[in-house]
Amino acid sequence: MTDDHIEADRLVELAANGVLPTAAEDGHLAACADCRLERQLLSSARRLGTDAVLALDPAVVAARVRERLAGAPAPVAAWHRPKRWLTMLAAAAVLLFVVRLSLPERHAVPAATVLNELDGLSSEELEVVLATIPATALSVPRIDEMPLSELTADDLERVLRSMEDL
Amino acid sequence: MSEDPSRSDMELVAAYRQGSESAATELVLRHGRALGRYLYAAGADPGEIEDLVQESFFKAFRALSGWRGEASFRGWLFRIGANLRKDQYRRIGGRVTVPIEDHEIADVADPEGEMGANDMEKRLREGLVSLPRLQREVFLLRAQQGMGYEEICAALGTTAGAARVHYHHAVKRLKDLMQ
Repeated sequence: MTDDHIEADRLVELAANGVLPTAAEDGHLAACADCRLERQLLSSARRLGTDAVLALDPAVVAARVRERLAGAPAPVAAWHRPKRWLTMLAAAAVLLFVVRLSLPERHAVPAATVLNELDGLSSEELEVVLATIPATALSVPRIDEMPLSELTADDLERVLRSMEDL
Repeated sequence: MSEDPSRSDMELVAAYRQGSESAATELVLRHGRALGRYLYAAGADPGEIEDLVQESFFKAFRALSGWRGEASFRGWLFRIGANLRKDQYRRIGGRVTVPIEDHEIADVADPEGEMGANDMEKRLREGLVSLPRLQREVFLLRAQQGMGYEEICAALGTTAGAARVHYHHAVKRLKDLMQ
């Protein structure tokens, strides 16, 4: 147990058939509505679907699966599939196109620039311009500085992955 | 001819690859009901569970060359079933049928307990359908199927830490829905 609640893994164990809480856990469950609710939730999850599959006969399912397997053509290896080849060719074509675009053109007509006014500035002058960009534009909170409770599941996963890479 | 039930899933798969139909049958007997319960909890219509279970096993046996044992056979099979369920869910426009069942008050010592348990299961299933997919799958594999986090992350292609976070979020949301 943690200071306040029974640990989540232990509650999963307690929801399993035949696992009894200790005296201390029993006392806590009597007093803590949150742990009681979680145990009840997990017990329900354990039972969920039991009635729904009463009519399901795995032997019948197995026979039907065998019948379908016997009548189905042999599976084609992934790299043999025509669709996969077409997809790979299309991807290669796109890649070639992108690489071609990124190569400097020898005799290309210069593309129109968006900010012509910056063309004539020196490096020092450009730095002055950059320094005038409002600080608020850089104030997007970093994921790893936000409280965990405000992170979405995707954000949490990114944080966890970055921590596990250390 | 029946298979030795003490053989591991890996051994049964190897036997099936060698042509043993009884090995395939044993795998279905071993995992069929659990898969059905998992799909039901994930929102599958009760009338379609048998078809989904059959299709899941059919696809699994056809794709066995893609299973090298990193995930448990059950976890891998459940992943196939969940993908089929997702496809079905899209086909029906995201509608989930929650059957209205007549609950007779049983002549037992704790009729309120019986009604409470059934009501909680109904609400739990509705809550599960409302969860993001990964939270739902992690919760079911952990709470319904009793899998450990290593097995869960191998089955779902995530990390144990991320799986714990998904589980935590799922439990929190479900508890909020139950209250």
